[in-house]
Amino acid sequence: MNNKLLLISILITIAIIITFIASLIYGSVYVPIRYLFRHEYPYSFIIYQIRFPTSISTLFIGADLAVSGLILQKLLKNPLMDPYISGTSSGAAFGATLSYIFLLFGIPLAYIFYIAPLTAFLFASIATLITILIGKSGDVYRLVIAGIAVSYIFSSLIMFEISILQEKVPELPSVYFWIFGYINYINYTEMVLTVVISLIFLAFAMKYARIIDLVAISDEMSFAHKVNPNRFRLLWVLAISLLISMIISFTGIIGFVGLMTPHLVRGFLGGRSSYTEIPYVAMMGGMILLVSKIISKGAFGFTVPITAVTAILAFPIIIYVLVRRIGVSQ
Amino acid sequence: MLVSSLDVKIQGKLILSDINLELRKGINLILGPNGSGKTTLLRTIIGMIKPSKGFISIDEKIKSIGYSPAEFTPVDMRVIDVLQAGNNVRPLNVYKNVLKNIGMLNYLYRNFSTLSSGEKRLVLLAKALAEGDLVIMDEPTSNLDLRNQVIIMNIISKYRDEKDFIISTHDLEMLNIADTAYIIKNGRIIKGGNIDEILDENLLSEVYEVKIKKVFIEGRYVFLKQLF
Repeated sequence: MNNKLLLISILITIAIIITFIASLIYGSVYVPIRYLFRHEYPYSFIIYQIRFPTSISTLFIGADLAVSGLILQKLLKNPLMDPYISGTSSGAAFGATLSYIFLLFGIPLAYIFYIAPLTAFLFASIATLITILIGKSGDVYRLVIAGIAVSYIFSSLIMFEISILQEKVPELPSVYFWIFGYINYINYTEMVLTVVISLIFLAFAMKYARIIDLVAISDEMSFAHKVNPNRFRLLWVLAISLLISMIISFTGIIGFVGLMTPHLVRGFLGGRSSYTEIPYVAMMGGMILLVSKIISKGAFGFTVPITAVTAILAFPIIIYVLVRRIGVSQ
Repeated sequence: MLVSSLDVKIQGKLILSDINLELRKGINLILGPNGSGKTTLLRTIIGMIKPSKGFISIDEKIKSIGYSPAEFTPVDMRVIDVLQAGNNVRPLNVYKNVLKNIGMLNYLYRNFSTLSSGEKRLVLLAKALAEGDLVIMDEPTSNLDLRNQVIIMNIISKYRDEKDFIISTHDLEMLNIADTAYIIKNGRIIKGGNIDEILDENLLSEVYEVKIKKVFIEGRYVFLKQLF
């Protein structure tokens, strides 16, 4: 590791620590920093029982979203991809809300929590594959437009589902949670689940990073390396769908973290192998989502959905990508 | 390597029919005009396209294939990262050695996406040469300026004893360095094997649908196309 990479690692780590402490302090209730080290009810309860596991989970969810974005961008050869643009998140959210329909048939809520990830995974995969199928033979924009269309359809369907279910299932989170994302409270059990699954996902991403690079360069070269690029893409689409279907039940649909983070990292790292990029993209993605969560939870005196914040953060980067990268390559 | 009575269909349309090739040591050329099925043949050899009939058998001594494609993504990563992409990666020195031979060793840490199209092709060529016992190249000299064309012809000649080559091209100049050549048109092999048989003005004129004259000068053939 050379000096520049080391410096960047140190700076990102410091930034994450500061953000993390801020995320313990800010929220619907402001907790003065001195209570971080004091056991005084209710502050220590808020910090260590509510905000600590939620913030740790948020870091890992941000890492997952960002690395998913990186992988989708490379495998689909499209710099504007992420699990939101590809329709994966909307499909997953639709699938998760759909599972509540089973309540109408007398199936207890306890079972729904097991059914929801399955239906979420099913529809996340279906939505992503529809996007890829429509956008396959075309330029960068065709895939993006296909993804946005698929996202809109599933978001609309979620609104129908929720209006139908609202009266009968008051436990169902609001439509804003599902469509624009909102991180409320993630408990320790869910935190452990999130961390373990994220670490497995990131480890696989690192293991296959060099193959992801090759598939990004050329399908023919992949076959020469005995890698079937279409099968490889399908496996990653399914893995990301699985990951998103877990995330979605904690956060609703969060957009743009996966889109902006890889470009941001390349901004100061320069273009590198995915193998080098993934750890930085993971750290940066975690930090961006945590910052977005702090803002979304009322640090400035108002609460807004998460995607409202990430969209604003991503805007300059989307413009940069459109003007510089796609503009240059065409 | 043997290609035996191969048929390839893409979306129900017959692209290659009854292809028989016997590729030998050294430089094998697949020669033909644009749209004749050259790329489809190469893609079938690497298993990207499944033939509807016939088979391909590759010698057991060939452990790995290097492929330099005609089209690729100008990815935003360094040359060294492009070279080390994939799961059939050699020690860095092997790549450095090939880069040195094409005079591009100082490109190792430059960003691949910012290179000229000729330089990008040379990098992928270097990767294929470093990785394959069998090196397959799709149109290695097309869209290149004269200097890069010469570099590519030289590097192929340089490795001809160490590696086997299958090169698709419409560039007749490549006949000067080839050991065997097959002419393909409309998905069929018209003529194949011996170079001397291919160096026939009437045959080449018929294949390319333009009057071609060959001139032997300074120890090699130059091909002139008749204008108007």
